[in-house]
Amino acid sequence: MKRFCIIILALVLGWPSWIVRPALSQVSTPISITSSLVVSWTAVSSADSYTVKRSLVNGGPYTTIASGITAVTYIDSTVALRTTYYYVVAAVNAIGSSPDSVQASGTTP
Amino acid sequence: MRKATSWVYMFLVTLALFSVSGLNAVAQNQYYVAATGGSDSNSGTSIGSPWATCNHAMAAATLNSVGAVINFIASNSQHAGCTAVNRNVAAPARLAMRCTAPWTSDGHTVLSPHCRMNGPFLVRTANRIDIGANPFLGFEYTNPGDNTAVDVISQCPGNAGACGFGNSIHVFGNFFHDIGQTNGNGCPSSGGILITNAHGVSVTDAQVIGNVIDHIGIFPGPPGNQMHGIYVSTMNGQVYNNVVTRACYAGLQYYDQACNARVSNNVFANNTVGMVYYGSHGCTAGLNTGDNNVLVNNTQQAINNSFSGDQGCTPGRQMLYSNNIISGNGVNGPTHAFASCTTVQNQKSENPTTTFVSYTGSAQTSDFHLKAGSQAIGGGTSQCASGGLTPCVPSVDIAGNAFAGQIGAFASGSPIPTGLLTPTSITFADTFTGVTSNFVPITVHNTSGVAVVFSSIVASTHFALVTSATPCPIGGGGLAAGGMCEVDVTFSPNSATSFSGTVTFTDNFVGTPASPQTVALSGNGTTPSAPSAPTGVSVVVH
Repeated sequence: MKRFCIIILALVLGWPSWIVRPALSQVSTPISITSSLVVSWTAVSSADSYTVKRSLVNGGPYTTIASGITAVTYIDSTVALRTTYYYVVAAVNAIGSSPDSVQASGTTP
Repeated sequence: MRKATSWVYMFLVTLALFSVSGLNAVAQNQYYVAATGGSDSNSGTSIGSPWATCNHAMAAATLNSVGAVINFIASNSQHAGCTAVNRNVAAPARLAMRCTAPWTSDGHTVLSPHCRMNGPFLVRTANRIDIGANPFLGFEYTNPGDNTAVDVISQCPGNAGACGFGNSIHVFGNFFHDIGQTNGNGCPSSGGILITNAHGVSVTDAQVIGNVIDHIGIFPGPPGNQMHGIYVSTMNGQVYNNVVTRACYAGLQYYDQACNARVSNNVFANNTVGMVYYGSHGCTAGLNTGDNNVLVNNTQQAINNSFSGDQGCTPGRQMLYSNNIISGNGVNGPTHAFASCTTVQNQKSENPTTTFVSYTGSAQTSDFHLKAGSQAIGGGTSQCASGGLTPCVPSVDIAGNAFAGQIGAFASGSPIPTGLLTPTSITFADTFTGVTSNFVPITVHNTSGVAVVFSSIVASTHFALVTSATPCPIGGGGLAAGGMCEVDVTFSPNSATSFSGTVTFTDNFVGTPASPQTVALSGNGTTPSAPSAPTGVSVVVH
């Protein structure tokens, strides 16, 4: 409790010389910030798998970045910072592939 | 505080007692009869002031609309016989007689004190009478010079036609033995328990349940066919959980008004005939069930189904014999070929030394509990004659133990195989015609203490079983106690329509679910086509 009061006092009045500052080496190293975009869609009953396509241009053309996906979510980790990506998804079964879905977009921070 | 707690405790105890006894708001009138020390001048309303005779109790008990229970105080002395049971009890009341202690706890060891009678129960101008109670809270009667232990007459005094007597007579939990050996008749027209319609009077609702009867008449006896362990000839009767050995003629004669009758889970062993079961005086024959009985070592036939061509059923009114053990009889079948309206199914054969814990041919020295490994364990059924009265098998055994799916009168002392199936139904995803779906697993968990043995596991058309990583064994030692196995099922539609079916497990499960168990299957076949485009696409930062 006494130590807590001293720290509060130090913050209000300034750091007194008789209080030893923590050495810089004691502070955690900042974590590097990476990001990814998560693409989700609604399941199609007759689908065996899904193909996810991406473009840097609104409206395409799109490039396949993942196929054979059986889940209804895909995490795209190969993205650059502060960039907008445009995605479409297609459903696939033994007969063939569906048309591409309506486009959705996301921007990395 | 302590006093308040005490009052709460007393309230709860009182509530529990009423719940256990099944009593509603108004209890039956209670009376007491003592073998010694009682007086018919007493009030009879407490153990400390008992009546002396059954005959007095029968006449003096107040019934009102709730009926009365005559409690015979267990004793090492004999009670006076009930030779004047002449109360015409009006529904819904009943007049019940029972002992304050059971005569046995296991069906083959006689306890003292209990309620021994020095005379029979002679029921004359009476209705709605209970003689004894289950389990084993009835009476012991033995008298080689007498003809019967319970004799119910349904005609007017002097056999002067119908007077409306003899209906709803229930005989429960008694021990009748060594009757009719020295009366000079050998095999006269009587028996241990005799509830007859006197050939022509319409009588209903006889119930003979949980009685042990041995040595009725001379056995092996002189020629004759009229003295039986149990003789019931009323429609709508129920004869369950009885054991009859060494009867001069039949273990059971259900003859003359066998309509809507139910004869299940009895042991009729070492008599001249196992059971007589047919007849239609005053009713249209049929709708009779005979399930889960043990008919063994009877010197003539297992079943007498006709003295004169009447077969116990008529077209459209089935007679069903199902899941009975029949073995070691002079003829392991009926006296006459069964009529086409009779269904005989799932009959079994097994030596009584394999079926029972011990078998001597006498109920007084045998232990009729089921022996481990017997076909009787889990070999029973609850199926009733089509259109007949239900249920047609007892839910408990002679001692009051849970008893589903077994044969005989006593439950097994061994654990009963049972288990769980998960899920109980499967709906497959829409599947293209000509394509086989991914499999869906069905898990079987043996929740009992003994092995569950599967005789077959099959899927219906358009569905198929594929080998799982932990397959359920067919035959052999089965699925061990506590074990789990998996059945994987696929769907293969051949047209674009809806399909349904089952996976059926046939095994030795007893209880719920009893064998065979089914898992319902359904699915839609669809015409092959590429899928539609996904919808609801969204993107978020991770």
